[in-house]
Amino acid sequence: MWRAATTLLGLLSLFTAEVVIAVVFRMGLWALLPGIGMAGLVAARFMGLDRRENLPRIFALSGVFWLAILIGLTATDVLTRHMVIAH
Amino acid sequence: MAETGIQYESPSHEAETAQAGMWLFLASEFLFFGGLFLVWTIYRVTLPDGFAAASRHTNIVIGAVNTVLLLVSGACLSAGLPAVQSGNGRMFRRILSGALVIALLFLALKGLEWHEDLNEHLFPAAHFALSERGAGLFFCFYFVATFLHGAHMVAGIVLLLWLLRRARSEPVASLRMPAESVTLYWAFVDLIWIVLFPLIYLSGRV
Amino acid sequence: MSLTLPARSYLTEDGRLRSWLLSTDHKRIGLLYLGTTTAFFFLGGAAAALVRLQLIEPDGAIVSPETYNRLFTMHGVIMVWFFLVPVVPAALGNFILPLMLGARDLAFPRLNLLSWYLFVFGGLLSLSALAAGGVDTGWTFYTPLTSDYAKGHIVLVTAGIFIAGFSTIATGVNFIITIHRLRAPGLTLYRLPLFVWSLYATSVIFVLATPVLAITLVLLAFETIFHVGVFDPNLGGDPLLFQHLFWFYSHPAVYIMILPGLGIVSEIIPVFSRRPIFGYKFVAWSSVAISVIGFLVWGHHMFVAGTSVYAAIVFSMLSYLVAVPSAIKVFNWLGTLHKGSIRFDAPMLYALGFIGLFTIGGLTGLFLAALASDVHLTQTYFVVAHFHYIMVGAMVSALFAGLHYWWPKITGRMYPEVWGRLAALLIFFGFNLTFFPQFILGFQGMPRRYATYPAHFQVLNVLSSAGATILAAAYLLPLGYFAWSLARGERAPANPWGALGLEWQVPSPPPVENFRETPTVTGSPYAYPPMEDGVQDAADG
Repeated sequence: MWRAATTLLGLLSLFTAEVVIAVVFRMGLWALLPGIGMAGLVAARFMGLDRRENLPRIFALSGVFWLAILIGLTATDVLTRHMVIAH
Repeated sequence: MAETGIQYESPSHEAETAQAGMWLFLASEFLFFGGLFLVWTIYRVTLPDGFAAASRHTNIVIGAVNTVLLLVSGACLSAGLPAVQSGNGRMFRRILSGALVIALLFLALKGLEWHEDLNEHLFPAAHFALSERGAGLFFCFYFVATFLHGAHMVAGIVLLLWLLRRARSEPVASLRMPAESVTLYWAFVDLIWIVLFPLIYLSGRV
Repeated sequence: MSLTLPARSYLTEDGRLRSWLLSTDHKRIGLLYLGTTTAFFFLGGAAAALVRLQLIEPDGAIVSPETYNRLFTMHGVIMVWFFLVPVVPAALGNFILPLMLGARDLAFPRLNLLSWYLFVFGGLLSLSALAAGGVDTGWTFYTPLTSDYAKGHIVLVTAGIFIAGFSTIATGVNFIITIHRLRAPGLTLYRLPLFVWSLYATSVIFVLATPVLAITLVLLAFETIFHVGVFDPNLGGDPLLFQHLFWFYSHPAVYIMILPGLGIVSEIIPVFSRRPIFGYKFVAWSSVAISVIGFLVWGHHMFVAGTSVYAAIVFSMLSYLVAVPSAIKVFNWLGTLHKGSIRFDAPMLYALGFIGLFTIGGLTGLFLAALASDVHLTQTYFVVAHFHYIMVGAMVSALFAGLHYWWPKITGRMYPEVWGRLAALLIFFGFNLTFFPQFILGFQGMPRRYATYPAHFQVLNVLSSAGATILAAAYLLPLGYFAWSLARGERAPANPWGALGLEWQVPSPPPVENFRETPTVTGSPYAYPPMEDGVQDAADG
């Protein structure tokens, strides 16, 4: 019970932070950072990643790692497509 | 729960294996949504103005209320697991019912939001309300992402109902394995929304 | 090798159709998969036969260009998603994996059955769309061609593929978890059979790449239905993003279609040369390396599509990297064969044929990984020949190698050896006659996916079609003699090849629960004596 309650408290604080960052300070992209923190908190606490053996942790990390491959390598194309290096 | 499968040494061997399987499935699901995250990232970088402008047309109040709802429901379910372990069936059934009500509320609000969006011609087909280049792409992303998340919510609701029915007829201590799996799944749907919320509602507020 | 027949086996336990269709026994589900994938193989093969028939004449022998487009699309869709991707893992792997691990079943037997139903449902959905007129986009469904211009039942076909995709995810989850959690005592990482390593590597792709295909198909269906979408150039969208997403799955999927084959061959070579596999750890880890590096190379499908030159250079270099673990495998097989006492039974003939075809297919891949030569060769028959050498030549040879090798275990019957060897030779010959001319055609500039061609390409096209006829006959042969073996074949002993893997320690066919008592593993599955006793000493003299 305590575990769930403290986690919820943490989540709501981060949630408030991201909304304030975006709505009050108009720095929308920075709102992603507390968002990622919230996702991590849910994975660790609600999904119990902090208490599990290694196998689920490896699976969770692979999910994140492969997403990084997908976005990273696609970005190498999209971000450099119109780039011309002057001679 | 049915008796232990012939391929397992013990019930706990089976339970831990089921948890590992659920995690692997969720890693797979994460990459399913990962395709959408890629779409968002690429267009947010290449067409920042139109994408951000469109993002400001979303209803942040409904989005924020829905986020809080999901956070609370996730906390509820995760608090339900100790109740299962201690055999407190009544407590567990209450928690399940609570999570169910919250989930239905989420979907109702989502429906209301979609209704408003369509009335404001935010679906990027004919009569699309926005003219910035990239705004249409944002709303394609928005509708697909919220639809798929909603579909996962519906699947979660079905799972909750199924669990609730079993919790009414079976001793709750025997539900450890399905309760853990459903909680995991629910938390994952939660997590996806937590990522989608800033992508949809906040990132354009610059 | 005594011929004690098991009193009861998974085959005889309960013969009613219902009990087969609702079975959660991995062995029965493996056979259900084998039956359905075989049906899809012959359907896809029929489409290929019509394609080759059409190309006998420069002006096209039988069908209109529109029909031709639908034919090769049907061929590609069926062969990739409903035959090559599932056949070895879900049919042979399903049957053999728990036996190799000393387990009584997969970790999630009901999920296993569900995966078969998803596969059949998805297959029938796609098939019904293909039967109702089909689609003319090619199996790659590029946007905006598919979403805005193509005619046909695109949503239905992609829905079928989407559903079949989830069936492969289920299989992948089941395999990975089973390998982690259900190994017999003593079966440590480096005592695992190499087929298990390759199934693990394949499952990683199933689980981590297939969902990206699924979301891609959802986005494609959205765009096809509403005529707006995230790839829509009218909205400022980037059609190349579709290709990135598509190939993020579909390039690793090529490795789904070869890794299990590499595993089968690594099983067979040591058994029939009576030698321990050369460099076990390298062969094992090279499967994992192929699987992981396979995720980093997809851009080489898009070199001429208008992607960034700098990205192309990165993707080109990464593509070369895949050659390293692939070559490790080939050299290690050769190292195993070296000084072995080789027996040319049918499984071994298929496996040796595999090595030849895989080597040609792999080496020609280097020409396509190289930026400059790819610009000349891409979209020509050189590409068609290259990937058919891997996916059809090599993989189907490996499938047959595995099928002949484990046939006695699966059915409890032997097949007629002479016919097996004949079919192996015919397939090797027919395949090369079909596809080698296509390398030359492609090099000379004949583009793929056209219903007609200039007359000076005719000789090589006729050769290719002639080869296809031999190949078709050779593929039908096993169907005949396997059917004969089911009814009349000689009863198989538990271990006809004198192999060391756990699957050979149970009766043929295995009992429902596989192992009466959980076995304990004390050594490598490849601990074959280096040579037949005495013979080697004399030879070394």
